[in-house]
Amino acid sequence: MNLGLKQIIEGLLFVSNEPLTPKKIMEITENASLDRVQRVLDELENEYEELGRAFVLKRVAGGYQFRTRPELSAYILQLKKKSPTRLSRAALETLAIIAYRQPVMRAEIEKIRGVDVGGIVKTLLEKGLIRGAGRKDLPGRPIIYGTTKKFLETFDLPSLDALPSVEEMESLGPDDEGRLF
Amino acid sequence: MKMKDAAEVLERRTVLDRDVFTRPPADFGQEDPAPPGDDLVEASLFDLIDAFRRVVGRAPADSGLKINIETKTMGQRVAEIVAHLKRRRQAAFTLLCRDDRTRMDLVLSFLAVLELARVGRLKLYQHTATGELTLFYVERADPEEPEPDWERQFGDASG
Repeated sequence: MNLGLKQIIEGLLFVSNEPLTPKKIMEITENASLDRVQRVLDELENEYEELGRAFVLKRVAGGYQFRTRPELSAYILQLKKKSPTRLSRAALETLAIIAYRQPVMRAEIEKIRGVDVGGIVKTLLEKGLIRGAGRKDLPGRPIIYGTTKKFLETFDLPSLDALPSVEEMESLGPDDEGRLF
Repeated sequence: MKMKDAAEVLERRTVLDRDVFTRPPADFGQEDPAPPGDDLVEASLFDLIDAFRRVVGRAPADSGLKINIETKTMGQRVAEIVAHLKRRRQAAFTLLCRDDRTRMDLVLSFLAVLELARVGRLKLYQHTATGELTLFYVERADPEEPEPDWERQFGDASG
C-alpha cells in the first residue's frame, strides 16, 4: 500500500497522546512543508467533521488531537466506570481569574474573590492547570501565576485567544460583584 | 466583567474527561493509568511500602544475589524520576521500577520516590480497584527557583 502524506499524518495523530503541532508533524515527515502539513490538517479536520463519526479532529493547545463527540460522554463514562472530571466552583472562579488576568499574583486573586486562595492555588498547581510564571518586582518578590498547556487541553481551547473577550463577557449583564476588570 | 461569568465560561466548555475524551496515552507499551479522578485516592506512606513489597515480590528470585557494579546513586535515581515525571506528568510505580535489575535498584527507586514525596515534588495516588500506585508530578510553585542538584545532594548516599 502506497501511503500519502494524509495517511501518514492521520497515523501520527492516531497514536499521539498529546495534541500534535503542525511543526512537529513537519519535522517527522521531513519532506513536507509547513503549509502543506497545515493544508492536510485542515482537510482531515473537515473530513472527520463531515463524516459524522464518533470522533473528530480538534484544534487544541496549539496542536491537533482526535477527540470524541460530546454527545457520547454518558456512554464513555460508563465504560470508564468513573465520574467526570469536575472542579469546584471556587476552583473554577480562581482559574478564570488566572486565565483572564495572567500573570497574576495570589494577592490580586484574593482581592477579587475576597477569600484566601492558598489551598485552591495549590490544587490547581497539582492538577497542572496553572504554573508559577515568574515573580513580580515588588517587595517580597511574590510569585505570579499563569495557565498551562494542560489548561488549554482540558478546556478544549486552541489558544488563550479562544476565550471570550472581555467585551463579549460584558454583554452578559451588569453586576459589580467580583468584577475582574 | 464578572468573575462568576468567567467561571461559567469555563464550566460551559466541552471539558476533557467530562464531555470529550481522547485515546489513552499511547507510548508503545508504557501505558500509564488515567489522571486523578474518583477511581484514584491519595495514597499514604504505608501504601507506598505495600507497593514496594509487591514489586520486590515480583522480582526474580536470584536478583538479590547479583552484584551490579553499575548501581546508580540516589541522586541519579531521583534526577531520573523527576525527568520522567516532568515529561509524562505521571507514572505507575511498577512501571517506574520495571528496569530495576537488582534489589538495590528497587530500594533506590523506593527511597527516591519517598524523598520526592517528602519534598512535595510528587503526589501518590492509589487506584481503588487495582491498588496500583501512581505518581503524579507537582509543578514547582516558584519557577525561578533552580532545580536542586539531586546528584550532588545524594551523590554519596548510595554510590
